Amino acid sequence: MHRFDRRLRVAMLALAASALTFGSIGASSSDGALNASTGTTVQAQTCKQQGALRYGLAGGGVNNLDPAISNLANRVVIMPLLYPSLTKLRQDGTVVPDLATKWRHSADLKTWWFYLKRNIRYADGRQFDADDVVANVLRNLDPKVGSGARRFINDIRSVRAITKYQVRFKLGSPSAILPDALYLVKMVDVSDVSRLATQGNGPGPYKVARYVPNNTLTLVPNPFYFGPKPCLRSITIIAQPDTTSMVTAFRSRKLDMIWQFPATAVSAIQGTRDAVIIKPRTVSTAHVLEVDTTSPPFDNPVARRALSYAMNRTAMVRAAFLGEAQASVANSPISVTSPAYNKKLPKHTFNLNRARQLFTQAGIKPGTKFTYWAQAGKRPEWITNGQILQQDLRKIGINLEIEQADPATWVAKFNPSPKKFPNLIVATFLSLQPAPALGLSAALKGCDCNWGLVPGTPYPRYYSMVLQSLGVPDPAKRQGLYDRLQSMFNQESPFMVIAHQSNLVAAHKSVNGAWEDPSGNMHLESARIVP
Amino acid sequence: MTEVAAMELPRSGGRRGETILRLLRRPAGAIAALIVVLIVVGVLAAPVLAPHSPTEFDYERLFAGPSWDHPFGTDELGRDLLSRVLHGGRTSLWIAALATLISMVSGAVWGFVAAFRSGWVGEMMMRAVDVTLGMPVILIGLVLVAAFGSSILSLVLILGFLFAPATARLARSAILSELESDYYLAATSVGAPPWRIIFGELLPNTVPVLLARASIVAAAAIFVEASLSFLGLGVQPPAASWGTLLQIGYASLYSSYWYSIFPGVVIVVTVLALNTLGNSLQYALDPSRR
Amino acid sequence: MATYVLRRAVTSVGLLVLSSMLIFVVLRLIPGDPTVLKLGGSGTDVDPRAFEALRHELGLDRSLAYQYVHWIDGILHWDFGLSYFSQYPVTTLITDRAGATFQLALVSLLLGLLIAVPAATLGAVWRNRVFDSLLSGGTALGMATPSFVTGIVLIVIFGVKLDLLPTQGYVPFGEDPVESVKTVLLPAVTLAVAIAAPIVLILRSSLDDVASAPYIRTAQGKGLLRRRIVLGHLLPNATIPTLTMVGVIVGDLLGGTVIVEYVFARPGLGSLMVDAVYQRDYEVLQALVLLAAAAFIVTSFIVDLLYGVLDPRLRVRGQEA
Repeated sequence: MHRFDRRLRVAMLALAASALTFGSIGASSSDGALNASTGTTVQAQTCKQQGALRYGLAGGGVNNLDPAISNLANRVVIMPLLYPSLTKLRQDGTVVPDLATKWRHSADLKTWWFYLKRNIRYADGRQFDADDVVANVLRNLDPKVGSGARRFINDIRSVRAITKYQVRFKLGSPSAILPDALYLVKMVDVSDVSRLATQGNGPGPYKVARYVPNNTLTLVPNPFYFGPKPCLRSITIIAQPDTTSMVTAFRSRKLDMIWQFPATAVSAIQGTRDAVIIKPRTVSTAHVLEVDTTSPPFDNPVARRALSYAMNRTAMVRAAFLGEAQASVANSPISVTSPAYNKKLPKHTFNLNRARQLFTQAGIKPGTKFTYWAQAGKRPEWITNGQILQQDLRKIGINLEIEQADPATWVAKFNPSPKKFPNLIVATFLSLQPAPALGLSAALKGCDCNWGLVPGTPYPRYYSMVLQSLGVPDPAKRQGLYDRLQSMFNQESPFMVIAHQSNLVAAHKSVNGAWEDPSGNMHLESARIVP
Repeated sequence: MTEVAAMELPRSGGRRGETILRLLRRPAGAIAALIVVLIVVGVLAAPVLAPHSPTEFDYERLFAGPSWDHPFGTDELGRDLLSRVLHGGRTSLWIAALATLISMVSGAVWGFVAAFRSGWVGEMMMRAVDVTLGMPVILIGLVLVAAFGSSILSLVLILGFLFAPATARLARSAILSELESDYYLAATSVGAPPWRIIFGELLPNTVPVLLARASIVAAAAIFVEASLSFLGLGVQPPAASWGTLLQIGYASLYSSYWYSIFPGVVIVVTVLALNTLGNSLQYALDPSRR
Repeated sequence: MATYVLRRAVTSVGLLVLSSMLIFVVLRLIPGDPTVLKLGGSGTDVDPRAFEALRHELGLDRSLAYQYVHWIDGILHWDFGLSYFSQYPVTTLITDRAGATFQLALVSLLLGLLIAVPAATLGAVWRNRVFDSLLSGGTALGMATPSFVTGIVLIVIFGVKLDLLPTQGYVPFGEDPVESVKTVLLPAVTLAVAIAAPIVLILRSSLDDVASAPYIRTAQGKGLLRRRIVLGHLLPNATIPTLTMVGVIVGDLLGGTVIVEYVFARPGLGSLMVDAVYQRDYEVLQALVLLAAAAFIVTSFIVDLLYGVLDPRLRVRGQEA
């Protein structure tokens, strides 16, 4: 185990791309964060409360209202509606004050003060103040709670309510991006933890009106909300048995909006009257193949590059995503559409001869068996990709066995970590951060900030360069570092990026003000329905 | 045919030959038998009959509709669906056949033992059967697939296990009715050795009943495998069963309306034919209808 | 008779206990412990202490025997535990969702009988070749079509193409009777097809049996009205074997609703069951499977008793036994 510079590690903790499927929100752009010491509340227009939004999601409904139990990306949509944080995310991925009015920090970046709004109340009318902030932060820090936010904030050494509306954080080492990390700490009513999972009492714009676990959740405006009144009479989140019935319900207008529909339905959505496909401003979500870089054969970068060359990404984008994704032929965590993408990267263009040669060089003989592991019923695209890879690998004598497991078996395979996964290739979807430094930090594995499913080896030279990039003010110079980082990633290929794709979201034209963040999560806070 | 059978199997053979005749005389039974034979032959001859390779990709023709070249259209990787359905039938029918065999053999043995052990052992054995019968098949299927995975082998074992209890119950009642029959009483009274009565008379006489049941179990196995596949827990690629084809077709409904139709129709027709065959067999075997 | 009933009751309870043990053990054989799913669902690495704490909280660190006794003890106090995920009491989850399933089961059973009984009777009385082959063809088709296929076809026709009926969800009857009936219609028809087919099959053949019985011929000979023969003699006598089938269907309805509720996104016990399997929510699953087993055992118990009442010969035999 390498020991890293603490400062670096803390920064990374906050930065590290959050995990797949968990709605990732991590931190935002370094530049934004560094000077975001003051902020203003975003003024929303006032409006009459009309319209009921029906929001469909497939692959499991909401089954627990406690935001610290981070088990499904599907639930992330309710977080900003029920549980605001001290800060909130904007469409470009930066954070601005939400429950806080402003913040300041000491010169050494180790002490932070946050000032609260004075009129904040929970949905049940109880006053929200600095003590609630402290209680929430402490709860998220408690390892027994298992909060997904913990690893982003675990360098907080003390948190104290200085006055009723002022909280002081002391950190173990400097961090410029505490406001970004604190976006992940969702404020809930912790006075009665046992009721949290079922009642969902928070200070957000909406509150729970009706809740059938795994099926429907109806939210209505919170009368005690401190901000402008939300514009919808209600939001109902309806679990769909599968994506086909979700698209069917959307087309027959039983749903106003659907999240994460498959590319095979794009043409059907486009052919639906008054339907639009909502896209994020930037895409930082990617379909990837993960391998365990601590176990043979993929502990060898040559074997990983071999795999990368054996991936026919163009065919995958064509067959699995029907063209609705950008292939990452040069295996970069940065999307080819991003200005930060390094256009000079050596391409891993599909080349079976090269793959065979590299596999042989890495000591992988014909007849070797790999396993391709994917979740059943979740993303049919993964199975299509698996079959393309399977067919191509067979041509060079390698057997790829595709295995699908139901979600529980799937998750059980990787937990509790750490485990070893030789010969395993895992198909997943990563929500990376939009800022290049953060997207690139996704290569970080094997340290405390391990985000992946499978173990990875630490890569100190890469880490220090990511950190270095945070402190470079000149955009051109910074881009130089991004280019070098991408080259290193391309050479090491810690995981294989197939293509960048946003979560496909469709809505009827009457729905206004809903947006998707670059990490693929929907924001309905300011959504309304215009007849 | 009757004569040959009658010569070889002097006493009960006449009964069996008659059964087949009586089965074929019913049009539904005859048609069903014909369809089953056609499907089995078609599927076995898949390598010869299939117009294309079931695994050959064609990225230029994804989700194509029916055409002369591809009568059933193509799938998400441009593979010929007719060939996929023919080859997929091998997986489906193999699973169904082996599962049926397992359920018939284990169920029959269980039922026979329970029938001969009329005391509390037999009672317990039948109560165990009742316990499993009392739970929804699809639910146990789900739980078992979650527990043992969905490789073809585990699907075979799981489906075999699912249908064994009902078979056991049937086998037991079949034997019990034989034990009450006149010829059994006659045979025992003349002092024929018990093993000869059992293997020479009792078991052969229950075979037709079990055959009728086997046909229905095979249909049910195809049915349940399709249902599990629909929930994403069936046969894994590149192997494809009719169930998985139907499921993928349904998931791609909005790219190709054709995809799911053909596997769906094939499943329904096969199950229909097997059920009808089983029912006709039962009907033909029922002594009260003679 | 009393001893017979008593014996049946004792066996039924014994069966339930056996079922509960089976459920309990089998569920714990499945890979994917609920704590792992609850905490590790995101794929992030979770502190092992969190797993330990949760396992302890849920009592999963105790021995299997202890857990079982604890569970049974809870049941005896009408406490089925909490869902690991939603944290709702299992009894609340079940009672909240029972309505959707009960309505579906009831409507589809009625629909099924409403289709099956007249169809089978008509087939037996009318003896029209065309109708007969239509009937047996329809029955066979009904038995051969998986309910998810029927469901999808109905959704595409009535939900998408014609846009006549809702394809998803559940509206309680008390809330909005019209919408409630509209919502239940498609799933109920789907399930009714699966229910009606075997009833037609068995009722039809027992009607044929009864029709050829000597007393019916006598009645015909006496010149009794055809309608009186059918309603007064034929149907009641043919009901007995059919009753068993109906009993089996009712006992198995919970299982039958699983796929139908899934396809129609109906918040009932069937979909609760599928979710519980996926999430390894032992407490919910145990209670539901026990409920299914109990439903089956109780119905077959009732059917056996009814049998005794309806068929005097069996009553006598029961007394002898």
